[in-house]
Amino acid sequence: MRPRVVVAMSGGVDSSVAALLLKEEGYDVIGVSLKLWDESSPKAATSKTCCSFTDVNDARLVADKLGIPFYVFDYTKEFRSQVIDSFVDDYTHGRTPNPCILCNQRIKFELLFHEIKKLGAKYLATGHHARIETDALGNNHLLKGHDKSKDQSYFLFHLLKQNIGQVLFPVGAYTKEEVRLRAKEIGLKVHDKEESMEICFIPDNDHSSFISKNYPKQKKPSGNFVDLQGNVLGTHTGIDAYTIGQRRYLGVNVGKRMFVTEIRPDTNEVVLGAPDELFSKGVIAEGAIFSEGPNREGFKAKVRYRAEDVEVEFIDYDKKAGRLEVHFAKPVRAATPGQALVMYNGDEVIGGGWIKKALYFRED
Amino acid sequence: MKRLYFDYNATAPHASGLVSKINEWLTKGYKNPSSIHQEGQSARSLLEESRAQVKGFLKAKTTDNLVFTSGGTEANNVVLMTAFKNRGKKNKILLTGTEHVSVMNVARELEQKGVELIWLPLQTDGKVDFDQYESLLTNSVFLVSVMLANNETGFVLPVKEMAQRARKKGILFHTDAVCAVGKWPVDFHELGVDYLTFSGHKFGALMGAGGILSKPEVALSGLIKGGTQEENKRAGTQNLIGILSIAYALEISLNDLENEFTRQGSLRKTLKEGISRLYHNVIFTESSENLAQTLNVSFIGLDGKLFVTNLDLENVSVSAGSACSSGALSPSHVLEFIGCSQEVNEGAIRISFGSQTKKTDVDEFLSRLQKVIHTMKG
Repeated sequence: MRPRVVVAMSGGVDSSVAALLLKEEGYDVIGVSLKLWDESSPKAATSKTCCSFTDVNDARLVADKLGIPFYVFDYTKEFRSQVIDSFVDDYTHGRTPNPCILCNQRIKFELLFHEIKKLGAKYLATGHHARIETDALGNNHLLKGHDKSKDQSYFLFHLLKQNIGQVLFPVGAYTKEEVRLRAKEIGLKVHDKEESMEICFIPDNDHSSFISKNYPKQKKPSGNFVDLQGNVLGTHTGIDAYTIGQRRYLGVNVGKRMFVTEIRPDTNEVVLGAPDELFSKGVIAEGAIFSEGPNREGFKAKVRYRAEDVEVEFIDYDKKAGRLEVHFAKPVRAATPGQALVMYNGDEVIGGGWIKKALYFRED
Repeated sequence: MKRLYFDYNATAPHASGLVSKINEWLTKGYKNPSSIHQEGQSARSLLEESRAQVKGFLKAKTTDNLVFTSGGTEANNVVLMTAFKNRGKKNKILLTGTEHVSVMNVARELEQKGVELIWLPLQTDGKVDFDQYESLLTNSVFLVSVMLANNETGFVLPVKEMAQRARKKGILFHTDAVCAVGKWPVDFHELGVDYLTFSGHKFGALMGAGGILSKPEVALSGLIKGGTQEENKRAGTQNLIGILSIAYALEISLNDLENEFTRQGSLRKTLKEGISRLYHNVIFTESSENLAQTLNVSFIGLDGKLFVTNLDLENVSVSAGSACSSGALSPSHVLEFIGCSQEVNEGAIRISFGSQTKKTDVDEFLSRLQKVIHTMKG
């Protein structure tokens, strides 16, 4: 039998098919679902998200169908301290977090990765649409998934720091359609399961009431909406409720469409502006890693999961400080502090970091 | 590879011969025990015969009440709720923090309704300080609820003496005997408790049936309303086959209780010695009065949850802590309450076995355990 591999199973179609493919390849496959959020809260119990009871049961049924052992690991405590706390800290400091990346980095590829070694497993597999390729020199490269519309390499840039030789992304070589088809062929009920779009612990997408309810002490007070000139335009409900580029639920009527263009935690102000004020010429990222080759031609950057890759024309990387500054070849809309900046050379992920600051034209 | 089942305290394997017995009962075509026709009447006779037998097995008097329920959880709920309803002006429940969740969680809910919960401390070896106990048994206590045998550690508590002292002060006493019945001599009369609850599947009967033994003079009001079954104390058509299986399995488990206790005690000793040889830093959480078939062992420095997983991958079934609805394991509230350190709690697994466990199974268990310890050390 081939080596033991643990598949992190969310109950969705991708990780289910990941387990199936590994089983077919002859691996000694074990399915593990992670309990990340207290499911006793009434909302989570019925929702179709990565943490819910329903999803764990979906994963359990798939594992049973595939004839592989299946376990549930309770990481509620760790998820709270290492993902949710930081999520709340971001919003209450004017940033817009990406908890999925943190969860991958700290929970799946650190905590789980560490624990499965004690189960005698050699590999950790997930259902991410991404690929890992080994070159002739034996170096591993993290690449976009074959299905570009479903590519999830953005959520995995931190793996550049980790041992990706022990990570498997079995569905990365397939399109989502192919994945669904494989699931259907062997009669997996999850073959047509909807994709989860929301943050798993906030199924109703209302992060602000999540903070009020679960972190009341950190909830920010109301303050002023202002424009770039400093004019007060109205009252906001606390900076944690807003994100760059937001247009809805502002409750401000100044006769034209206004967007959140900046959040100022120091003065408790939310800046509103016209659409063109959202465009930046570059970003500065912190906690960054970057592995450049001899050639910088054609490098691209992605500032948000659903944003398109844009070419970069200037890169400054300070390895010691973990600081990465990039300038885009064309203006980018709503580059947002707290989101990840991920760098690509073609399909390959070559770097990334956390956006600290967007560089605006007005600052010249 | 043959699977080795060492999780009897979660549920015991069916009593030997039960499957063919069930086949026989089903073939006879018994119908609703409440019906007046012959099929119903014969079902009712069988049901009442089982009730009388079970009372006899548990050394209750014929005048004592035995109400069948859906299991231990319902039985415990009913006792606590009944006592609550009849509490009069008293407002305290005395219990230990090692009780099953079907007692603890009901008690906590009653706390929301103004009941004060008094927690009787237990030592790490399961001992009760009787002076302390006496001092906590005040006039305002309306119920004492204490497990006879603990499901995680196998501690057997001095229920007889505790009940005596409570009864002297006119305080109702309930013992949750779910983990004791079939494994420890249970004499309802001698224990002197007002209520005793049990569950069939823990001693080889089917899941979904259990019961409450109570003295004739104490109240019992069921939670489920409807028909007049069980003398108006538990509505709903009885789980006939489940109840018959209780009488059947209990008889078998009591037949050889003493010999089995000795035999299982020697298996336990083999396990303890073997485990101590395989891992240098182990702590056994046990009492001088302990079930023979339960062994709670902490492997200091190893993670109990991963241990259980690893053993399962080696086809050995044990348990650790308590499982939540998703199947994830949480640290044991029992070990926490008796003052075990975090590392003892985190490294703890529960090994429980029974009448169908052979010496060769124990030897094989130890050999697979060795492999798992090796894997866990990395």
